[in-house]
Amino acid sequence: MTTLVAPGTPTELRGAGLNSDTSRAIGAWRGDPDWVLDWRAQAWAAWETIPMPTSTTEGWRRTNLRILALDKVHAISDAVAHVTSRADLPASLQKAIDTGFDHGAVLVQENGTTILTEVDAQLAGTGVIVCDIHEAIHRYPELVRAHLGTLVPPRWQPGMPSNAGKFEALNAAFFNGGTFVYVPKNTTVALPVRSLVYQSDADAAFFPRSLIIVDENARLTYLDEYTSVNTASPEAPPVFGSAVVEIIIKDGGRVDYTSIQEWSLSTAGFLTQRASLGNNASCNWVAVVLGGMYTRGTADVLLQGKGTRADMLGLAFGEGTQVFDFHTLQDHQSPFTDSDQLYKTAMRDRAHLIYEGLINIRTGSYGSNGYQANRNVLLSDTAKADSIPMLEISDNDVLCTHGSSVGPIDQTHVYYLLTRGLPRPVAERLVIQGFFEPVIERIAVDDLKDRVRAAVDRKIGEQD
Amino acid sequence: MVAAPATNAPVHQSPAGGATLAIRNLHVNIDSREIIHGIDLTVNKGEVHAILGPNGSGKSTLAYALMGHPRYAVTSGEVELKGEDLLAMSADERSRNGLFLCFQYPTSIPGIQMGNFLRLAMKARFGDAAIKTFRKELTEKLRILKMDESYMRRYLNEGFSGGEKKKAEILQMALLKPEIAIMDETDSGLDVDAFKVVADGVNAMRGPDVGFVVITHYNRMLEYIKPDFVHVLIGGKIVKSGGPELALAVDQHGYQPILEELREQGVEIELMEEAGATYAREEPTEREHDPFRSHGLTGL
Repeated sequence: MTTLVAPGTPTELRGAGLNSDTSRAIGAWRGDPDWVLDWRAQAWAAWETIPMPTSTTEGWRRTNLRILALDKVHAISDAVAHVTSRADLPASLQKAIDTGFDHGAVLVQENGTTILTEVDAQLAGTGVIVCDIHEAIHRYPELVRAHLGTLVPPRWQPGMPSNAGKFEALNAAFFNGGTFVYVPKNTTVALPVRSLVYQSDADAAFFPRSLIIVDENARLTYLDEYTSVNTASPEAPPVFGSAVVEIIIKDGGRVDYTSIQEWSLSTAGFLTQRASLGNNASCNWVAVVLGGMYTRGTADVLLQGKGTRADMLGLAFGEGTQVFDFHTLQDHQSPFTDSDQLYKTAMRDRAHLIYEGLINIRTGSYGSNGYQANRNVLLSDTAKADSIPMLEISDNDVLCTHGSSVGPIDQTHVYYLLTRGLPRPVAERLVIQGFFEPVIERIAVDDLKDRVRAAVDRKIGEQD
Repeated sequence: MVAAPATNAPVHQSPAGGATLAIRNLHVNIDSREIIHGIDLTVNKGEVHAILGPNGSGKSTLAYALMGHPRYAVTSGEVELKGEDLLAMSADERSRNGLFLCFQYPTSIPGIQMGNFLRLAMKARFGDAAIKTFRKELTEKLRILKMDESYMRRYLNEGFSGGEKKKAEILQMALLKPEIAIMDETDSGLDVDAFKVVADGVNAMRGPDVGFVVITHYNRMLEYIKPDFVHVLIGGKIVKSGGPELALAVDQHGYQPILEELREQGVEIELMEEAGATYAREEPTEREHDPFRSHGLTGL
């Protein structure tokens, strides 16, 4: 597939930090139209204006941002050469996408460059668009302009906490790479569309930004995967990134969205995902987070239309000194909207889980149901979980429940398995897999269940 | 408390090579309170030993202690399995060395598929080679236990009825082929049909390769699974041992005559004070519903 983006990063950008010049230079290199250049400029201004959260800022009290070393971060990587087929991909990426199920489309991006695009011919024939975000800006400007930033704007928004949107603005100022998907009205994309975002350059930051638009009564299954390379030296500052995904589901649309974050343990980053649902739209959303030394995961569903339904599932497994900082929002803005969230995590060693989940039932959202459950297992005395479920209800005739738990692995379960001869590590692993299974079971697509199981098994098995 | 006279403890002569399971003067605590006050018992392959006793006499404590439950602390005594120190082994080592406990209340574990669990258990006991024949064996055992293949996709014991749970225990026992199998009140909570299936499953396993310790509250179980030896466990001690006729005597007269006999011999027994520790002939409680009496199947 040809691309309208000129290959090769200007060498003068290499090694430069985060500033307004590098933001502009990336836009120029990407051949951004004026409105995108303006957008980047606005975003840079927002990054500079929005105050940096501190340890006393609500929602950031348990977060240590000092590990980020933002003054040492480089703004951009060199471009990576495109490949013509999967066989030409690096072995690790080939292995990552060769998971034994068929795709409607695959996009592989390395260091912000889309290096492989495969779109099923039949799928393309239905008017479905799957391409690199920069390509989309040139080829489908109206479509992109009408939606880009509508859910995650490059600025602070009135009514939000003073620190909100800072790292999302940084993404907008430097965005480089990301996937664009458009599914026309009444179109069903039967096979999963898959995006694999890989950061192999440990010396530069990554800022992918994806935009997914599912038009009226259309349906999409999307698998969004993130990986990164390990730095050679533990003294090096962390690989830093801020990724943004906007998912717009119009009336009657349906999205099955699974994201799997398997960043290296030397990566510290932000992953902000926000979806909006029109009348009678629905989504099944699964956020799997396994990697990263620090991950700030924001997962918001905006139930804008009447009769919408969102299932939000989350799964995380942590070890070593990993920190998972999850913030979720179920935002009920219309009558008869349903949301059901289940987040399950297991932390071992000195890993730390932070969960802050809000169900917001706004005025006018009568007849809505919001459920929220966060279950955390601690596999060692030094692992930690802070779980803060929150409810804000501003209308009547609604049903909401929320609950959270933190506790050790159930030793009665482990003992039973031991009595059947399973060695303790195998027994414990099985119990943890069993603990996660109710989340995985709710993934709508069987192939994706297996993909998630494989990722979890790989992670849990690492210690043996 | 005085030790029971040694004459009451039967001596089972071990075949050449030593006993399969040899328990000597076993004392067990739960939460630093002694429950088992010195038990001696020898079980060989090919034998079926029944342990009868009222509620609270320490029957399940014995079972759990042998299976290495962390809450049950062995304070003194010795147990050998095939000549090796059982007490030095972890619970999983005990299992892999051929000891099996059929639980009275099997644990339900959501999220773990039965089929996957059984495959891992077989691999742990017999190694990778067992995986090849696993399917075939499983199909055969499922047929004997009248269990549907669909059990394999269900979560381990999750949502199983009492009967299904016990069948699942027997299935595991049949697959893991223990050399010593302890059955803890396997008859409790079963309806007649389930009981027969379970008993048939156990009888199908009987043979020269396995020794059974059948712990039971009522001796209905022993009508179906005929024991070679019967032991009465009261107050944390085996107070009387004999043949099948002992089970019959207990069923007809309860434990009172045995207690009186011991009293005459000057032996004191520490009786449990918990609810349900009755020593007269027992009627089934509602929780421990006895299906055979209500179906007129007692036959004793």
